[in-house]
Amino acid sequence: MKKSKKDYLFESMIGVISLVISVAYFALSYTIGRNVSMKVQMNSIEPTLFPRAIGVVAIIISLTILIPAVLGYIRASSTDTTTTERPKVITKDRLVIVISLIVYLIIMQYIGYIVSTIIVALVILNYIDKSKWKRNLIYSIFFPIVCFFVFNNLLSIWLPIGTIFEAFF
Amino acid sequence: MSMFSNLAMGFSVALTPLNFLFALCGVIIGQIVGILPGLGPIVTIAVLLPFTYNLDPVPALMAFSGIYYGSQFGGAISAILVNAPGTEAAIITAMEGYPMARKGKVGLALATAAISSFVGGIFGTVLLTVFSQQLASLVINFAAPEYLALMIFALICISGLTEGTTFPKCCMSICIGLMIGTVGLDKVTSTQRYTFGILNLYEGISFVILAIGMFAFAEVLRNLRRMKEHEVQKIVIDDKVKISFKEWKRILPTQLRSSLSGFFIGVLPGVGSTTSTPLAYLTEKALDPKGDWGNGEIKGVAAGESSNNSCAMGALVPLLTMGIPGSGTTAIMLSAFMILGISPGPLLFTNQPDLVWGLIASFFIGTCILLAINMPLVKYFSKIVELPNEILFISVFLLAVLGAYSVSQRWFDVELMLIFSIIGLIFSKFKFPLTPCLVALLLGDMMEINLARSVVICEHNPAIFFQRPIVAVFILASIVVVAFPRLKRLYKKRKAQKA
Repeated sequence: MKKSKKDYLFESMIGVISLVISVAYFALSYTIGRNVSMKVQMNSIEPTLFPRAIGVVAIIISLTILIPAVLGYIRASSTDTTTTERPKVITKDRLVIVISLIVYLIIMQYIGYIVSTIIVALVILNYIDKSKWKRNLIYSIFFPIVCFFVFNNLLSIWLPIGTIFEAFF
Repeated sequence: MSMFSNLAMGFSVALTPLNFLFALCGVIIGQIVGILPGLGPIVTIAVLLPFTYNLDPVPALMAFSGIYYGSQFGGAISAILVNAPGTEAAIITAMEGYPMARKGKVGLALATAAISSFVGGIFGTVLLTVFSQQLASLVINFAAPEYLALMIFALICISGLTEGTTFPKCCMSICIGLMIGTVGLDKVTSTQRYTFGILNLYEGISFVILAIGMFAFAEVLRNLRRMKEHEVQKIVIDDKVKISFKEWKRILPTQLRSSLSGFFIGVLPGVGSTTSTPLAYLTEKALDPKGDWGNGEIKGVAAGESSNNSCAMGALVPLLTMGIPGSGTTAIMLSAFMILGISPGPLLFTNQPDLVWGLIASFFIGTCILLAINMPLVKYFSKIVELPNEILFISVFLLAVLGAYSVSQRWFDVELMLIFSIIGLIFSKFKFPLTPCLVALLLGDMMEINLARSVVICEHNPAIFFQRPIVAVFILASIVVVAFPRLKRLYKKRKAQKA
């Protein structure tokens, strides 16, 4: 399928982002400290060797993405005059999940795993489908209690009980 | 004593009620930890190690081996059901098994995974029984440059795995995986790299965090909007669990080929299923270009599962014969050997034949247990996909959080998981494949160590890479993998132009 001007522009953007990441990564390799005694011991093996090798390869690959995309864009500019609408990006629901997770991590320290999970699960489930609130409530209570028991008692992975409840245990 | 009489003795040891019970418990525990992303066999064996101090070495080691190969299959279950590969070996299974599940063929995918695990396990154990001592002497010929060349070859093969994207994007995905792998303390000199003063990054970024974030949690973010608008298609489950004769005919050669290659790659210390499964997948893809690759090809599940189970057996060869652990799990098993007062090495076969052959016999028994437990359970596992979408997705959300936390029991990893899920979405938007990034992260450490060793060996003369025959073979094979599809395309284009 023949690529449009917009496709080439998008590819160029990917190329630019890849190049920026690669150059930044390569440049940051110069901030890596050197362990002199180890350098002598390891016959000049430096901790920057591998990152720099990756950095150089990544820069070359970024250019192989960028250059054909830019050339294609220039070629398409002279022939393609069609304009396409930008696709609508819906991020609200994703934001809800991301914010829920951040809030979940913050409140968990204070109110512990069980209570915070009950709240977050209930909020997300009701956000998706309010009509089945009874099922949502049962699931939200049942799941964290089972997980807490399995992880703390069987797998020795300690889930927080929360600073508020610590005084009681 | 001949091999058969040794094996008969091994079975008599492994089939005593206590030993059998420990093997059974090990397999069940291994399968459960394999399902839960973040735990893995290393953590489980480490946690259970103190409980075995007063035990006889034979049942203790049988339980640990059971955990080891049980987890190989457990990882496939979560990979197929919720696209969260529980273990590194299950990444390839997720690539084909999850699309199969989304098409409703979840029972078939799980049954194929169970049977392929069985075939791989049995095939690997037979090879372990017959060739273990001969192979150990062969592996000695592999030095750092050979390992490095093999890993580069594996990464180049992975770039040929993914459909719907370009070769430079695959390579960029690999580079990003390698970049993430360099975060933390340098494995050779212990120098801090790319940590930006964040203490929690000193240990580096775990593969599990990246896998959960980019695969499972990104899936939650991707599907939430569609689910809220009831756009997510209800999966119509095909009740079929049995594999038809036609499907058997397709997957059996795949299972045998993948088991064979998986075993030999497993024998190489430090390589493991991260390399063997993509290579098996690529081989099958090359042999059957008309297959429905990337959209739920049954051969992909068969290749991944037989290869990783056979590879798990192969990794025991250097452990048992030379005392060299070939992977993280076999390293913790080596410490279990030490704690139990056993020194693995060439003399182990002559000094403690009951232990070695009992262990080998337990592999046969454990693999059979795994199949016997799982085939009846397949239809129940497949019911998980039938759960209401919102329940399934909130469960993935909460299990992803728990999985990320379980890695080091710190909430920083959960925050990292969230960041990687957003990166996963950006990757999808930019059509960057995720699997090469994940595999590169896994191979990065080993590549760096072998690069450092190679530089020391070759005394800064890169010509050494072309003077070693095994390295030359891998370099040539890499060039063929990159150039062949392009030359083929060019040839077809020229032919079309002429016509």
